[in-house]
Amino acid sequence: MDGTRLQRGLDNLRRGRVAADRAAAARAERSGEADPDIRRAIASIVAAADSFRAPQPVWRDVGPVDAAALAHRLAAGLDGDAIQTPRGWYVRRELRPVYLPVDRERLASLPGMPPPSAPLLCLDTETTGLGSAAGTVAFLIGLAWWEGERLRLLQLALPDHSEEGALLDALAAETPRNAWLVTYNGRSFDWPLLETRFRMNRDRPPGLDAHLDLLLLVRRLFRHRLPDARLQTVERHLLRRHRAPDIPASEIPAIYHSFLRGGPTGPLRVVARHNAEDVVTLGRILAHLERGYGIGEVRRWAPKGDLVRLARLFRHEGRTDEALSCLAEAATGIEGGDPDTALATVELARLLRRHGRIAEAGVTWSRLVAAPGPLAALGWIELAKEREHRERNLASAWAATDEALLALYRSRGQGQAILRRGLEADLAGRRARLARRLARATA
Amino acid sequence: MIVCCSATIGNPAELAAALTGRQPRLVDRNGAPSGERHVLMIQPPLLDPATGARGSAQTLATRWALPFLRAGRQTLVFGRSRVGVELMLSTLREALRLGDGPRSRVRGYRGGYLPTERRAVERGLRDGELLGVVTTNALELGVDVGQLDVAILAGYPGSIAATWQQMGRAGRRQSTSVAVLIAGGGPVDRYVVEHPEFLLASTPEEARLDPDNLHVLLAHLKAACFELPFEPGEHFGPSEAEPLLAFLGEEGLVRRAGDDRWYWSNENFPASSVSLRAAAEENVVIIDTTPDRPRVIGEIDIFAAQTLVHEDAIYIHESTQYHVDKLDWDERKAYVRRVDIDHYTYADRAVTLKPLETFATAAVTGGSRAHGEVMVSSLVSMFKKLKFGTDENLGWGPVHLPEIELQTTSYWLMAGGAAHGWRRADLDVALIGVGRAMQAVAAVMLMVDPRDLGLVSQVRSPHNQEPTVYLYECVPGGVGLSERLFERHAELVAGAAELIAACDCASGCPACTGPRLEPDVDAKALALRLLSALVSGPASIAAAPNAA
Repeated sequence: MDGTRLQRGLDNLRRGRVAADRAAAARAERSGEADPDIRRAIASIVAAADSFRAPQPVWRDVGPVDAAALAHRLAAGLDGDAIQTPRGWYVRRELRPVYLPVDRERLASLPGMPPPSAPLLCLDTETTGLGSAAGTVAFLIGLAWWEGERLRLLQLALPDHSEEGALLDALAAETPRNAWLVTYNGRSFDWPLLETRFRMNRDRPPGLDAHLDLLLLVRRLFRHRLPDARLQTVERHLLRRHRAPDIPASEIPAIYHSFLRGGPTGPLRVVARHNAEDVVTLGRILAHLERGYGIGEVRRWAPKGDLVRLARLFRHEGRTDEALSCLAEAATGIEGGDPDTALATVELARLLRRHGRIAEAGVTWSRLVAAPGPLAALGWIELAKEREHRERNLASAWAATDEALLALYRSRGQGQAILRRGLEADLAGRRARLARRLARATA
Repeated sequence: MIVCCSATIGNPAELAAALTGRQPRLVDRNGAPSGERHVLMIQPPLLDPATGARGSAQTLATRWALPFLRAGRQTLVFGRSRVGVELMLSTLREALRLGDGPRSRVRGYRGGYLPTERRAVERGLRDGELLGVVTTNALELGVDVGQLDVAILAGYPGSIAATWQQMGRAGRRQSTSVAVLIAGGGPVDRYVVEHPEFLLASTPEEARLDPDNLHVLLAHLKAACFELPFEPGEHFGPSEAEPLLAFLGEEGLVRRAGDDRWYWSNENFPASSVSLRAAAEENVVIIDTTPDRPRVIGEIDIFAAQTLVHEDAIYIHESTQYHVDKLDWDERKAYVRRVDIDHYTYADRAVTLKPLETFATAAVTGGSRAHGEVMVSSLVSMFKKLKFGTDENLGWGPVHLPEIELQTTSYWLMAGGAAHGWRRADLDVALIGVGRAMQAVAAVMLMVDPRDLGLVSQVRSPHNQEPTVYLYECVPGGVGLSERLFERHAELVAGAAELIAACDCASGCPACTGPRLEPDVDAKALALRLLSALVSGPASIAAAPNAA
């Protein structure tokens, strides 16, 4: 395309843009208020910031900028140091360590946890886009690791797109050999994104011994009592910590882009605080697991539903004895009416039976009939089997099916969910078969 | 190495070169075995010379399909519109039900069906489970359904390439196959069927690619820059990337960093706003609220949504009728409910056009010609209720939807000299007739789908104070058609005159000057009178290169 035609086309588009902007401004003025979502978002940023103006949506100055100048501005804004390397500038910000003792031996006793000697590195990134596509870059990397009883915190920040090599070098240098990486959803987001960035810069990503993604663990252990599994939900419900007004994650990319175009650094400070809190939360989750669920007396105070899930994790690792001990702990006090206790009793009885401990399984099943909910039916069904096949007492087996049905009807009457589809039909079938056998036996 | 494949275009090497920017090597010998194939071209009979009413292509198509279906031959019926497809499907199913035919083995297929439904139909055709499918051109490109026995085209698909694509669906390696093309009501259809050599002898259309289209260029550039930064002085497409990047920089999408490279600097993912299939960026989801748990039955692009799922429309899906209870435009959701009634709806689009900039202008016999950039706004404001079978008008209703805008390029003809001394009402009819004929001739001349060119006529244009006919391109930004029309203006008006004069109707019909608006107006004579003042020399459409 010749230059004049191209220029003319672009000028046309520019005119269209001016007209569209004007029309949009007029519309906004007419309607008098912005979209409620946007207003909420703006309100939350304003609330979060102590000293900054909201970012302008578009900055139209495009002249080339000096990376060193940006690095110094970013360092000043974040209260960190601008560091120059042969591959460019990055900003390094050390935060005050957090006192957070963790007994690594006890932590290692939990399924899937790192051995006591492995160095841990907690990591969380803030990125320039929400998806993890080829052009999305991590502009802020939060790191945390233990030094004795303290959690050390370090943030690495990117002053400009051109300086990514320096940032990645710094990250590689901070990653110890044989490290266990600790992240939240890092298996599918943060780490693959960083690996891509290393490759795009013709570097090799640092080697890791293992990657512990706490999202997977939190889902398995705690999802049953959380409204969702987002990190901040975990923080509030599990760790019982309340964050100061925070920035919505979806706002973060725009804040960084605005900074690159000469926007204020105040909002980035809020992003950095958000990132630091996220990284510390990773450490706190590990501490919470160790204190509440590690081997020993403390487990007794853990919620019974959690213990049932913990037992499942042990079972997946083939650690049957530990699974049994978790379940036995959770199965105490069945009369209390806690549905998690009943669930633990069922799983305990099943596990015992699978490992050939029939007598103990029988005792456990018989304890279940005292449970108040629909799970009592399962106890009665097992008793019916026991009486029919082992004791060969058809009449009392039939009576047990009766009790089982009764438990189901009762719990349904109270609006409780039925355990599984078809259970009632199966039970009715068993009862009818017993009745026929009884009739034959008495005839 | 890049391998490009094409079955039906006239200039594969040129297209590959334009697409890849490299010099390709052409391999064009077809060594595939093929059986005997019969091609039938049918002109529906003229029922009423006064109005120019002809037998309907859709009715004829279903009549042709039935014997093949009853004989167990796999048959595809191609319709030109989504509504047409549903109407033909209903007719076929009904006929097969009455005659105890393989009713359940006939299905519909078109845009707007869910992917799973579509995959099931494709699979059914491949393994012979399905006997007949009524479809739009959705089944034309890149969908593997194997080779079938019969293809019936209800209406000329708009281009030679598309016609061969659709006809090519029938064609076994060993046995005989049949392809039937039935002319629709439009002038282009009539022309093609009356001149079979146009289809059989001429080479297929040349695929055109305008690497200079700014909209396309900028969209590509955004996606490219997102993935890797641009070096200073780097080229993109036909020119240097620098001015384009600077433009995107003003938009806040890219930014030049300290190393002088251009980086993507926006939180959005640019490729997500580009659609490969539809012109519009967003879709409207259609939700059936009849069952207890509402379910999504399909989605359509926002242009089609304005005419198909406006409130109180009857939307037809798999030959089931749905009434649109509510169209939530902002949320892009249409809520429909199953109904069984005797009519369907047809919504009309009102189009207004405003020139933004004239690229070139020149005097011609009876007036002047021009091409340039225009803004086209289309507004759907009302719909008609039409009775099944007879298409009788049962009433109308309003549609309240926002206007959709399209910035594109256009060719226009100002007939100030030729129309001197005309009565306003006559001129209105004549301009519409001339415009319709020019639109048809332009489509044949440039070998494009007639739907790629839009028509607007103004008795007294507010911009140049003259009677004006605009032919605008329906693709945002245009692909260079209007410039070509500007250059071939003389052939265009001469061809239009010839098309109207040669038509066997009495006083204008859909096959020359367009549907008649008032019964006692002779649109044919008026259009010819205006054209006689516009035609300069002895040029004719037959002389146009490639056309015949």
